Amino acid sequence: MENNTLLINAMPAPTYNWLKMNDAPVKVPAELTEGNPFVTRSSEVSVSAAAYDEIMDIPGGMGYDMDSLVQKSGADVLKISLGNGQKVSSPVKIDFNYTCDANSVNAVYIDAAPDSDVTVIMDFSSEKEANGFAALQTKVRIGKNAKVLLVQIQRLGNGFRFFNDIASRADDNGSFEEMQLVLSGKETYKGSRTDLSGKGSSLKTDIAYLLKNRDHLDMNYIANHIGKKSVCDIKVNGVLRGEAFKLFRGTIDLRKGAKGAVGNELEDVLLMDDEVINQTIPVILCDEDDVEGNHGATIGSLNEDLLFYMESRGMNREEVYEMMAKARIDSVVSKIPDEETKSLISKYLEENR
Amino acid sequence: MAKKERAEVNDIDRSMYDFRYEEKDQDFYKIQEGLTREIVEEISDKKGDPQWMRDFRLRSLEIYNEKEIPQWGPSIEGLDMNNIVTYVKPKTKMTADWEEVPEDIKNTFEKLGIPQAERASLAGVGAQYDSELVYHNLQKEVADKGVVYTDIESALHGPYADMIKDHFMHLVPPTDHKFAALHGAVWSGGSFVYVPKGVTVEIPLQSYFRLNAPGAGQFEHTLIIVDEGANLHFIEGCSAPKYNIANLHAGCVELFVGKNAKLRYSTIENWSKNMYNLNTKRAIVEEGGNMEWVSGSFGSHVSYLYPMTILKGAHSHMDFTGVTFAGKGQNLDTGAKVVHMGPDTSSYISTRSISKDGGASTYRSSVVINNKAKNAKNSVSCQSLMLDDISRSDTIPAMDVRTQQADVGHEAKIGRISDDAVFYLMSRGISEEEARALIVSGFADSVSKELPLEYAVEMNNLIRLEMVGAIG
Repeated sequence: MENNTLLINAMPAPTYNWLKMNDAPVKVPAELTEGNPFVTRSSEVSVSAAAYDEIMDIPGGMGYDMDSLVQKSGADVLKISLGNGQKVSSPVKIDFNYTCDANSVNAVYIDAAPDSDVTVIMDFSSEKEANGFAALQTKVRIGKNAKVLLVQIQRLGNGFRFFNDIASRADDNGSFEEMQLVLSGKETYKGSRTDLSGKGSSLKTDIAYLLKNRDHLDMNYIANHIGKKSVCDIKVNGVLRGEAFKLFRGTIDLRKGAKGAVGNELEDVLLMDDEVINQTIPVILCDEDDVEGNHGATIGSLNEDLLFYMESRGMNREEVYEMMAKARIDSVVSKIPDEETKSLISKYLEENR
Repeated sequence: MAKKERAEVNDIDRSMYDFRYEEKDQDFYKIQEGLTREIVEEISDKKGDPQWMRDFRLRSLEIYNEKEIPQWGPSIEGLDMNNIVTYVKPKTKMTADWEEVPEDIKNTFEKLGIPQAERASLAGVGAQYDSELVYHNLQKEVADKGVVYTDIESALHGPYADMIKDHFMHLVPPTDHKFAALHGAVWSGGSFVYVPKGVTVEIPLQSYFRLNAPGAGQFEHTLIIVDEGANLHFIEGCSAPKYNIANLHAGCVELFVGKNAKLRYSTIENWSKNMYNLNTKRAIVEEGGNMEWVSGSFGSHVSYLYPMTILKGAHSHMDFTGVTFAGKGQNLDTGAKVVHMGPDTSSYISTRSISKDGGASTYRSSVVINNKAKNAKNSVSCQSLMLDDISRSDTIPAMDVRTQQADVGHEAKIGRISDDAVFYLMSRGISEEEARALIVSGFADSVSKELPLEYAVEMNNLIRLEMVGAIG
């Protein structure tokens, strides 16, 4: 099969080349077809097809090559529209069930008008042993005082490669919250860029991942603080097993004029086997004095004191590690405002222990 | 309502470094501007290199011509190698007596306080003026312990020639990056230190590098070998007067810390604001060895400076303490790198950056824990203070962990002076101006307290932060 090479997940501020963290050159199939997601929604939510031109002005976290890939594919954009003040009580669910050997591309656009409120839950699944490639780009426009919660669950096959890109822009007091769980998949590239353009706009990101065998996860998250008093809070929790590889790039860009902005980033990585590779590059860019940027990271195995404490309560080391790994996933799952989705995840984790 | 006025912090007072004596042609030998094979050969001729060094220079030049300029850091577009004079030699010989140093050069170092410091608190001093050392001396009682402290050129031709050959640019090969290759081609001056097994040098050695010639480059090489169980504190100082044309500093420091040895390397870098400071420093530490860096970066127009430590031996340790002050017209990209190779190795990096008056400071680092570095521990703390809204401050730390048995922690913070802290101090009867001055001084205190007293005083002079302005 013919491939194209893309350069994705480039950091806004690169560093030493020898670390090989600045970006990711990856091959993708030259021929992609539009996937066919299944949408569940209440009748009040408007779903339609739109052209990519409508979302060109919101750049994605994975960069130009990903935007270009999706645009050139010619796939229709699945548009979810919320009117002024429209608050949707039950979540909109979009299921992407990929077949083995899929070469799929999709684009989703969530257009949340002022004062609207919606939760969108996306589930990416395939057969356990499935191979294939899928690319998804989700663009989100958040109007004044609007709230959008985007939940994404990744339950892909052991041979699956997945590109998952998010782009969002928030107006005054607009709130964007993204929760992402990566539970499987051979090779995953994730990007997210949020432009906090409006005064008081906010971003909350919660990511949890569980990687094993030779799973590969490459992430590029960017929060651009443009509006005054904008706030971002990025939390990344993960577990690496086997020979898994993970790279997290996180950039908080506090731009001139974003007075009163606060950006926080926190990463916690639990390393469970000795052949894992963890790369982390948390960047704070600051062009304004009346702001606050914080970053913290902890990477390693469990604290000996904690292990001793738990062992003294009758658990063996393996059980303690399993419990702490599950706790990292649960920390995100518990926040998902949909019991059906929580059950789905619990069942999946139980079946794939 | 009265107009709200921002509290101001004055720029560093550089007048004590900006004096200069005009260099007269008859007192100096200057090589032609630019960088060609002929120029490199001429430098080699002038320095009487052994053949291997001549070949090494020419090979480095080839590497320089092949290497790209790094694209990830501050712009160095204003640096044109065609305009840089790579070798300027004062027409004097190196001496161990200040009275034999030419008057203008001696006066320069006296104004910088070097002879006085030597008398008061140093075991040995090397003083380099442009491309060559003009003074080098080591106390007799230290020399009697077998400690060697001399210029690299003398060492190249003396009993330590093989040791130089075995170590010179082995830790920082010319292939490392473009300016390491440049250094390999045109290096001149610098110091060689050897501390034998078990010897502790009680008081520090110091090398001071003064670049006086406009449009010139300084490419000194510092090679220090601290043998098993030995202990040394080495201080490096550097400064230059300001000119309107670009100067270049591309020095190289290679430090070999033996088994259970300890080396503290302190630097106060205060180049002038027309200087491109593209310096490379690296240490390798054997089993149980201890490497400490104390680094103050105040000067230069553009800096790329990230001292690197390779913790090769089990139980080896590294501490890095750094402060960077970027003022008007400065873009200082500084930080540290550490590679953990041996088991039970540990490292701690603590930095403070201050940006003001349009200056840009970047903290950049890398922490690499290799698979064999079981039980490695690393902690990084970097804090940046923005003193106005026309300056810039970035932090770009990278971590690469390749074993489960590691413990890596990182924290970074960027912000301005906390209003709460100012309020707290004011509630104790301190004026707002005083409170802000106190906070800024305290911010850099973690570095100044690590310096020898006279250097702490120099640093405090450098950060003479005077807070003025009504605050409404």
